[in-house]
Amino acid sequence: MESIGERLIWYYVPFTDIPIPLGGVNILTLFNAVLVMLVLFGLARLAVRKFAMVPSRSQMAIELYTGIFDNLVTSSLELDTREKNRRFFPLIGTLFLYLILSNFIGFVPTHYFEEPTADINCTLGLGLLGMFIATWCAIKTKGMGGYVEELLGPMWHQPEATGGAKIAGKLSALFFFPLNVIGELAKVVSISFRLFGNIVGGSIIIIVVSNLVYNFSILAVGLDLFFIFFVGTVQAFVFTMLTLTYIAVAIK
Amino acid sequence: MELEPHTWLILGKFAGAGIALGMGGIGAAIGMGNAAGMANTAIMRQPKVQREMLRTMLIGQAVGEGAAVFALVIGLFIIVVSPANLELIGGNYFAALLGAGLSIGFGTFGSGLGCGWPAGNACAGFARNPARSPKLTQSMIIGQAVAQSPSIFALVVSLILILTAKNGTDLPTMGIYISAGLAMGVSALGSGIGSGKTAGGAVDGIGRWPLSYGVTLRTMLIGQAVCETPAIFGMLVAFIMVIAPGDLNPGILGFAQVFGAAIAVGFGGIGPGIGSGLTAAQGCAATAARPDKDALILRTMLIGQAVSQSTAIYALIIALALLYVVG
Repeated sequence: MESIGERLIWYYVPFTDIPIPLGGVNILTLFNAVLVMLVLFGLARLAVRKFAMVPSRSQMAIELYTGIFDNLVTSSLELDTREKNRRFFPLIGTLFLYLILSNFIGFVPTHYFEEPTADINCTLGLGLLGMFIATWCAIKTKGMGGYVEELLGPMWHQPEATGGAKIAGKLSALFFFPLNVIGELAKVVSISFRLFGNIVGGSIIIIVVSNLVYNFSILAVGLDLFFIFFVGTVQAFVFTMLTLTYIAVAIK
Repeated sequence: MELEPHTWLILGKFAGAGIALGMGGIGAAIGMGNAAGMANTAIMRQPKVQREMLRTMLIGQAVGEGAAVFALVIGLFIIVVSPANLELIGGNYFAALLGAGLSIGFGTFGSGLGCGWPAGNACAGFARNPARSPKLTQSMIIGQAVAQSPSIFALVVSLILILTAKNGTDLPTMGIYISAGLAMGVSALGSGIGSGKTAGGAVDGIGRWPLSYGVTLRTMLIGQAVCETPAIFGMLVAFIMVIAPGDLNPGILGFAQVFGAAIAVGFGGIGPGIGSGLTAAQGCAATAARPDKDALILRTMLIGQAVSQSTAIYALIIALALLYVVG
């Protein structure tokens, strides 16, 4: 039971006395995240090694994946040209591959391979990244003024209102502005804690059940398959789709 | 209160395991009864496929019972596992076990209740169009698995409570443990019901318009994810209480402070969870009927859910203010 929440934290830069800022770095998360990136990079290199008119199996798989996600991005964003939609495809396609491999890495039955997504710092970083891109796109399409006006609530911009109604509309921003800002922050919290909670919950259930059943561990293996492969895939997809939806709502 | 360590331990086991199984069983039982009722109606319509229908119903009920199985796992864990140094146990350990029971009990209530709708609607869709049963079963299982996320969050919190309980007896710490369980459990209740209702709407839509399977499933996943936001706020407050409770008042005042925060974020989360579930269920049915307008429906659904969620955000602000500002 002691293995829950076990962390290997480096407080200093190796072989020196220089402290790492913000209270150290969780080296297992970092190691596994970099490992996932290297594996993905290697797989991508292998898959695109020789493209042909008659596709090989790896080319088939990668074309299928690209087609599905290209469709997904296009139908969600609904921008006027296909090129504008495609600008977001690399982000969304890579995010899903990264997350799904991160969730699957816990299946390697060795001590140091644990999911980077089981660390809140990793998922919070990805959530902040998605929110930053969504906000940036919103500012780029609507301008800084338009973006702030949206935060000030629906009653701020009323050209035809006069006198008391206009003042009341402007005063309503005092209520809407903090609410909208907190709502934006709450999006980051909810998207990152959802992934973190599901992945940690899965590993906790597996540990508790294997503790309770002793030698009858085939039950734990079945749970392992369910939580790592099924829940991991679904949650990776949910995270990716939510990031895409936040961007789609921001640029509308 | 001066009690023997052993008495505290036994009291905690009674209270924690009892609440875990008692509350956790209610939701799953209601939900599975609902599923079986809808299966009966479906068999009435299409008696020829009753054997396959029974299979669909049993699969749905088995997956939906997962929530109650989580409660069973934690209940057994509370009963079986005892800490190493028994003589140091005090009221805090009792409070941690009680909090764990509250968390998993209330948390699995909603998911169990919600998982009945997709199972029942899968049977109804099966009666409409027996040839489409694989798609219906797939969407039912995916919807139920996501609807059980709130109970997985509750499981995480209850296990953290059991494993990190401190020794000794003091009222603020007891309050923290009980309140963390209450905040997580009660806020997961509405989310579980809401995301189950969403899955039910999606499965119903797929049963009526099987060709819009993929796009309906996507709307369902996003809708369920938004429904789970109140449960995530509850988990956040529970983590904050256990890990960084701030400067609590001493004695009964500290207990009241954290308890108030738990009531705010817990009960404040029930309404938004169920409400955004109702929105998302209709959104899924609408997407299934008009798959060409999915982006428009999704956008409208998200705006409506965001307004419904705003009360959960008020509750979160009040809870954080109680923990950190009121001193």
